[in-house]
Amino acid sequence: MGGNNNPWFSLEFLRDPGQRQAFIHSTMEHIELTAVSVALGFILAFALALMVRRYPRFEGLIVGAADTIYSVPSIALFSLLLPFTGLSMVGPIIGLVLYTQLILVRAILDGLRSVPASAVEAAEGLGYGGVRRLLTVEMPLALPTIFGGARVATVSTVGQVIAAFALSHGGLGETLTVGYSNNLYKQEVVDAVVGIIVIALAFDVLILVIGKLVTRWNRIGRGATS
Amino acid sequence: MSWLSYLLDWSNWTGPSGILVLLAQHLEYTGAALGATIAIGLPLGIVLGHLHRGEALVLGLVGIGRAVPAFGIVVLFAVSEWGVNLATLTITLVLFALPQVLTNTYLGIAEASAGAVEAAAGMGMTGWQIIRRIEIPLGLPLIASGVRSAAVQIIATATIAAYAGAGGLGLLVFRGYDTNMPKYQVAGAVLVVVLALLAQALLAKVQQMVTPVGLRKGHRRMAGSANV
Repeated sequence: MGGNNNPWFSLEFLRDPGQRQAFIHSTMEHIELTAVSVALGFILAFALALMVRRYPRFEGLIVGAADTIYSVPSIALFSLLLPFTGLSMVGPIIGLVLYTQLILVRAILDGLRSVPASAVEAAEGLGYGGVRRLLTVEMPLALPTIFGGARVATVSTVGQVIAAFALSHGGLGETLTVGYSNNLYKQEVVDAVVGIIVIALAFDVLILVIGKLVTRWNRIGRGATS
Repeated sequence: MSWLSYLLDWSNWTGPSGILVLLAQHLEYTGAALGATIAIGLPLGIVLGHLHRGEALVLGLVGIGRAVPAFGIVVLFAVSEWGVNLATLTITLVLFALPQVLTNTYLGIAEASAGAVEAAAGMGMTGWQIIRRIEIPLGLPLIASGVRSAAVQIIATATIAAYAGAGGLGLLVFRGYDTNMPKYQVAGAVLVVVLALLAQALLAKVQQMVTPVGLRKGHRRMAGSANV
């Protein structure tokens, strides 16, 4: 029960300068791990998606591997990386990048496949080569789907960072587990969970807004035809 | 494969905290959570999708649902007077998996070919008949992929039960972590992955069984390549 000594909601825990500093440090680490892992994950997923486009027979292998990795419990994956990466930031990033692949590879492939054949043909007719067609015609049309995937991947990465406490870099996951082992210190646990949700929602809104800005032509086009 | 030695030794499977007991616990947690997720997500997604209502609500709830960290909720339950048990774990996993099922069901139903739906309405089908005979079969691939992802997520995430002492296959993972003996984590991870693969195969089989013959992949392929 805890009574008054262990309330659910209180900022007392954050009033202590040491605790506050640790909380801010964990929050920053959480944001940093998410941003770096999603960015690297996107580059890898893009490369894999282009590979699948070029060699379609690899699709089963790549998506299957991403699917299998996704089903590995994150605490098992992170703690198994320990002997190889030590307690550096490399371990959590490798694990988080691997987890983003299923969502991102699928979103990029779906996005590129959603491009109307007429647009691709028009580009070909204009003499656009592979890379130019990809960058100037296909990518812009695929972006809404890709951004949708990026949002899901980022928000789920924010959740997965927690498990990186197994490598001592869990961001607010550290705060959460410390609160749990610290005599079930409720407000520390609540503050950590609220912090994680706020980070996830902030990333979600940020990518939504960037996506809207980057795909302005979609709305302009739709407005013009309707 | 010394890392797999733990799994290959039958004596580790039996006994009061043997693999079989942990597996049964894991199946109980995941079964309850997947059952509840489907029981809530499918009807809700089907009705809202059919009516084309509440898209903003569904997508908004889904966005918030995704942001809720399952591990955090389990720890919240662990420090509360309820503790972590079948009921609180089911709530956690349902919160976590519902977005996937709800969005896919909603989109599968709402985006079923408008032409087919109009044709069905023109033939005098009632709303319920349209749902059952047009929208569900056409939306099935998307609905089924949502259920499959939810199953995988639930099976992998149920490992957190062991963090708060509620057992399941996560016990092996945390035992390995606590004692720094990788053979336990490997055993736990392998069992969870195999369980997830089996669940996916089983659900794919169910999907195939409920897909009308005319919409099955093999059927279409035969019809499309009659000249081969």
